[in-house]
This record gives sequence, structure tokens and C-alpha cells, in this order.
Amino acid sequence: MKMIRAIIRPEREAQVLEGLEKAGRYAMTKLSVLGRGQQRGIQVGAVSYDELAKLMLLLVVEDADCERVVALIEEGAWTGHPGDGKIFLQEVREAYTVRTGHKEL
Amino acid sequence: MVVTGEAADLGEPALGQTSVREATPCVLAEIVALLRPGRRQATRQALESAGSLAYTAVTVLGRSRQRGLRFKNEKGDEATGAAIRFLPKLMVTVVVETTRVKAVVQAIMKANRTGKGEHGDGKIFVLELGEAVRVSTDERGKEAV
Repeated sequence: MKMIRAIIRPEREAQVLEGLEKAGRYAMTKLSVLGRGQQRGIQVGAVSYDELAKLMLLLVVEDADCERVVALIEEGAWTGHPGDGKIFLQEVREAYTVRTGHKEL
Repeated sequence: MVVTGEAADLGEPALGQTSVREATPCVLAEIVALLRPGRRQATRQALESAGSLAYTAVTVLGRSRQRGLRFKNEKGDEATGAAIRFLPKLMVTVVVETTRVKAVVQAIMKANRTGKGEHGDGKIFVLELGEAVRVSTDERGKEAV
């Protein structure tokens, strides 16, 4: 299993969610974060925005579905400009559902 | 480590040298629990009883296959009724040695199972962790935790 950690533009949330929902992927966690990439934020005239608002999505998927889900997120999140975000993958060893008490996703 | 004006190129280790830190076996795990916000204190107490004092908590929004909470409209139709698409959840992260994962997972589970089969109790994920560092002393691995 993989945990997909996607950091995207908040204004692309609707597109990303639409793509994921069409593929039947509803389960996820989202949180608002602040961040920057190699560009160190943006400068507008005299004002520097050192950190920018982003949306972090966390999804846990089976290995076989991972590439497809990453592609779906990328599709919805892409604008072609710096600031589109990043997607990171982490290895998940175990998943438990608290309601049932069992080791299952 | 000095970071220059350009994007710092961490680069490959010089020929004949090993990387700064030798790859150590994975002795640590990251437990990420997505729970009901109201169970914060109970979870803290359960973790303490299980011998884990350290954790990080953040409020997040989440949902699973139920698609959040959906309500039927006047005609009894769920598709066009009101919906709370994402629900507030508490994300609790605990870093422990892999030998203690089972005990900590069970402690969190026990403190969070409503036991009535209600959806929304949450999920617990156990992730691999590469390295842990204690900022104050630069200790690594299990000494850092």
C-alpha cells in the first residue's frame, strides 16, 4: 500500500476531487498548509510571499492503483505554472479500520 | 550545511567516500491515526498508558467510502439531498520503534472504537520511517524518539 501525499493549489481542489470521484476514489484526508518550492514563494512588486497557501491531500491506495491515482491528481492539479505542487509516495505497511478493529483498509 | 543562493545541489558523494549517513535498517515506524476530534484526550491518555508520551496532532478534514455525511431531501432522495462532504478529524502521528507498533495501535484503537458500528471512527496507518533526528542533540534512530 502507498500513502499518496499530494500538495496542490487550493483553487484546483474541485478539479482534482472531480477526477478522483469519477474514478470512485472518495476516501482521503485534506489539510490546508503553507509551503514553497525552489522558487522560494513569489514576489509581487515590493511584497514577498515567502510561503503560499496549498492544499495537502492524503490518500492510501493499493500498490496496483497507485500510478492511476497519481495521474488523476496530476491531471486535475496541473496548470503548467510553478506552484502546481508535488506528489510524494510513502510506503504503508499496515492499515487498520478503527470501527471494526481489524487490519483492513 | 551552507545553502547557497541557487538551489543547493546535494549531489552524489565524492568518489571513494560513502554517503554522510550509512543506510540503517528501518527500526522506526510512523503511526498515522485519523480519528474523531472528540477523542483527543482519550487518545492521549491511552498513548500515555501504553508508554508513548510523544505525539503530534493536527485538525484535518477527511472522509472514506461513505463520502462524508449525506442526507435525503424531502422526496427521500439522497443524491440531491444536503451533504457534508468532508468531516473534521484529528490526525495524530506517533513515531515508535517497530517492536512497539502493535501495542500503540491497539491502545489508539481501544480509545477510539465507539463499538456501535458507526462509521467515522477512523483509520490507523503504519508507515515506514527512514530516519529520526532529535534537533537539540542530533541523535538519530531510536535515541531520537
